[in-house]
Formats: sequence, C-alpha cells, structure tokens
Amino acid sequence: MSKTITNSVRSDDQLAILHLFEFHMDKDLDGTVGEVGEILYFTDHDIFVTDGTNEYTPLAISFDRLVEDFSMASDSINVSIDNINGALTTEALASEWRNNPAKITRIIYTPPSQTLDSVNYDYGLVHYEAATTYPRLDISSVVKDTYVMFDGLIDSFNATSQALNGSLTTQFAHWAKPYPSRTYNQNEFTSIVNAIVDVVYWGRQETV
Amino acid sequence: MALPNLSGYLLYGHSHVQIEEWTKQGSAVQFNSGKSQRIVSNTLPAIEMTISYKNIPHSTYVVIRNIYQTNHSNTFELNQTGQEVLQLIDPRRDHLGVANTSVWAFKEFKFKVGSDVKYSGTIKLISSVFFDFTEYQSAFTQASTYSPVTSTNTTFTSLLTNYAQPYQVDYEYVNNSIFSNIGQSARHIKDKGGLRKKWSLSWILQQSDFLELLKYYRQRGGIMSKFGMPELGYGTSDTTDAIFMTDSFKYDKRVDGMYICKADIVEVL
Repeated sequence: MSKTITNSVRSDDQLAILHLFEFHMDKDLDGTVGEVGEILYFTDHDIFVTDGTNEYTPLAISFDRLVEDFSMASDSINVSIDNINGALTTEALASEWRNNPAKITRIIYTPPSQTLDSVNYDYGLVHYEAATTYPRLDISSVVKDTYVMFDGLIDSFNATSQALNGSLTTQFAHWAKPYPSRTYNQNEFTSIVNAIVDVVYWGRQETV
Repeated sequence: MALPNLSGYLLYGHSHVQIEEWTKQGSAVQFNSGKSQRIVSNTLPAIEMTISYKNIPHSTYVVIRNIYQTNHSNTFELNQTGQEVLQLIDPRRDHLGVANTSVWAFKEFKFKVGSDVKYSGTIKLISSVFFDFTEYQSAFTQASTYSPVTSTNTTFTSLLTNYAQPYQVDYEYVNNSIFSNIGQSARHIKDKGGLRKKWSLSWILQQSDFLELLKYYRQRGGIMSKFGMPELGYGTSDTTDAIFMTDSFKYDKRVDGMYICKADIVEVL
C-alpha cells in the first residue's frame, strides 16, 4: 500500500479535493478481472473527471474515515455508493466483485484561476475544462498531488434500494499475520534484554 | 435533448424569486497556528430557487400544477426562453458550456386559493448536476408517475356545496421520491410512486353548518372511510378518492357563535 505523495504537499490556503474510485469486476465470471469494460470508474466530484486515460463517472459516493490498525495499515474501509434507481444492483448481481481489486485515490489540487466576463476569479467559479462537449474536468494537466488512500480487495457488498455498500479490505487479508504481535521502542530495549537474560527460578528471580 | 424545458411554464406570471446559493462547497480546516485552509469538494455553485406567484388566475395555476404532476420526480431544464433572464442567477448556462447544464428539480409545491379564486403560492427548485447530455443521462433513468383514482362518491361534495363551503384551500403534494445528491445539488431522482394530493380546507361556519361538518368528520375520520374529493378542494368536479388525515380536524368556537375550523385531506391511491 502506497503512502507516497507524488508532489510536495501544497500549502495554499485554498485547495480542492476529489476522490477517484476503481472497482474491478468480473462480468463474464471467467475469473479474469480487470479486462476491458470490467472496471468501474467513479468519482465523488460533481462532474465527470478524466485523468487522461480513464473517465470517472460522478456519483454520490462516500467512504468511512480511514483508521490504521495495530499493524499500521488500514485494515478495511466501507464504501457507500448511491443506488437510488437500482442501476448498480443489476450491475452488482451480474458480476463477481468479491476478492477483486479496488482502489481509492485522493487528488489534491489548487483550483485554477478563471476569467469569466472579464472578471478574474482567483480559484475559478466553475471548475471545468472544455475538453469535451459535456462538462468534464481534465486533471491530467493540473498540478496535483495524487495520494493512493486505499488499495485493496472488495470483501463484501450489500445493496438496498438507496445505496450499494461495499466493504474493502487490504491486500494483506490473505496473509497469516506475518507481523509481530507487538513492537518495542528503544527505551524499552534494555529492560527487554534484561528480562531475556534474567534467570527465573521457580517462578521468582534466583537472587531472591 | 431528453429533458423537458419548463422555463416558459414555470416563469410565466411569477412575482418574486428568492435565491440561496452555495458557491464553494466544501469545508475549512483550522490549524493550531490559527491558520485555516479551505477545502473545496464540489466545485459547481448550487442554487435553491423559490419562485413565488401572487393572485394568478385559475388557468395559469392549472398549467403549473400539471407541469408539477408530470415532472415531480425527474430533472428538467430551465433555460430562459424570453420570460426571464436567468443567466445572471444560474452561472452554469454561460460558464459551463451550453444550455443543457441549466438543470433543476422540484423540491416543493405549495399553493392556496381563496374565495376570490385567485391562486398564490410557491414552488421550490434545486439545481441538479444531472446534465442534459447523453454521457450523464445514459446510465440512469428517471420518470414521474401520478395515478389518481377517480371516485363517484358524492357525500363530501354535497356537504361542501350545501353546508360547508371553505373560504380557503391549501394545496400540496405528498411525494415519495428520493433524491441522490452531490454536495447541495441534486443528481438524479427515483420516483417511488404514490404521488398524492394533499388539501387543507379552512372554514368559518355557523353552528348548524359546522355540526353537519363535524358529524361527517366523526363518521369518516377513520382510516377506512374513503370519499370523493374534488380536485380543487371546492365544487363537485374531478373527484378522486381521499380520506381525512388522522386527527387533523381542529376547530375553535367564537363568542359570536361562529366556528373556525380546518382539516387536512389526503388523496388515496
């Protein structure tokens, strides 16, 4: 899981955030995921977003706050996708989502200035770049920080008539806990070594 | 394009427009240093527009009402066709490309009519980001349905005509549709069916007339007592099945012997 921020974190007072979501599905249930047409691209922005390669469909989509677990990794995260007209229920039931890759990316950028009717807006009024005939934001040319927030697997999903909820889990879910049950800091180290070399005799220290 | 353009209907005859606008939607983060950072999430201005009408004639009201009934659960365009210069209010049309971005949805419909048969009321609209382009529309479908049930029962219309003519009728709708929203803007709408009219009738009556009304309410106040309700809340035409809303009949007795009363009636499908 990457925690790398591609550029320096921006220090501007005003910044814009949007999230890109990728869900890999297996539409033909052949076990091969990520084939052409089998990846859903969504964004929580209000218009279409393109990164130059993929186009992300705007949807009311949200996710829980990320929490790091003891292994200092984000263990799982719940995503809620708007499904009020049931379109995604059909999609979800016709495909295999579980165990397929899912990714949430955060894009941080400074909204570019815009001149409308001879008036300059420092951070723009409608953040739209005329790449197409329909409203779409092209972030490929915007200076931005790209932050992969979560890169994991789709664990489970459930659908109601209003929302499609998914639970994503880390790629480490299949590992048999290859990390120690706790870690020690430097200050503790001396006492730990002492404890290891100390001779315990019938449940008490030998010298006593 | 696919969405209807309602500018000519909704803006005709209006007297006032009230606007609430959310320009930069997002949140601010306050640091310990006292500095704050503004984070923008949704970058289109969202607008809630309340259009008021005062003393419009019956025919104009009927047009607006019919428009509501056929578009209550779908987004529509409102891109000024000579009735009103909306582009100053809605920046999307000029700055987001073309007219297909001036998309709105109904949030509320409230009207009233008095004994002078002049209609006053408001409709509330919210801007939508479900733009009128194939790219936006293709994945989702919207529809608005309304299926009132015609009634032949004349007990209530007789009561209204013979004893209890209301001095004011308030109109509203009970709408079950659900919105999807991004920020403050609506996205698209799911019509769950079951749009129903709701009337509030107000009376000032003499005691003998009031007692007829009270008797009728006590007979019909239960949940199983449908009756024919005229569409306009008075008269005898276009009756549909309706019931009193639970415990909605309220009355005052004045010292001069007159009774002031009010009841809510809702359509049954």
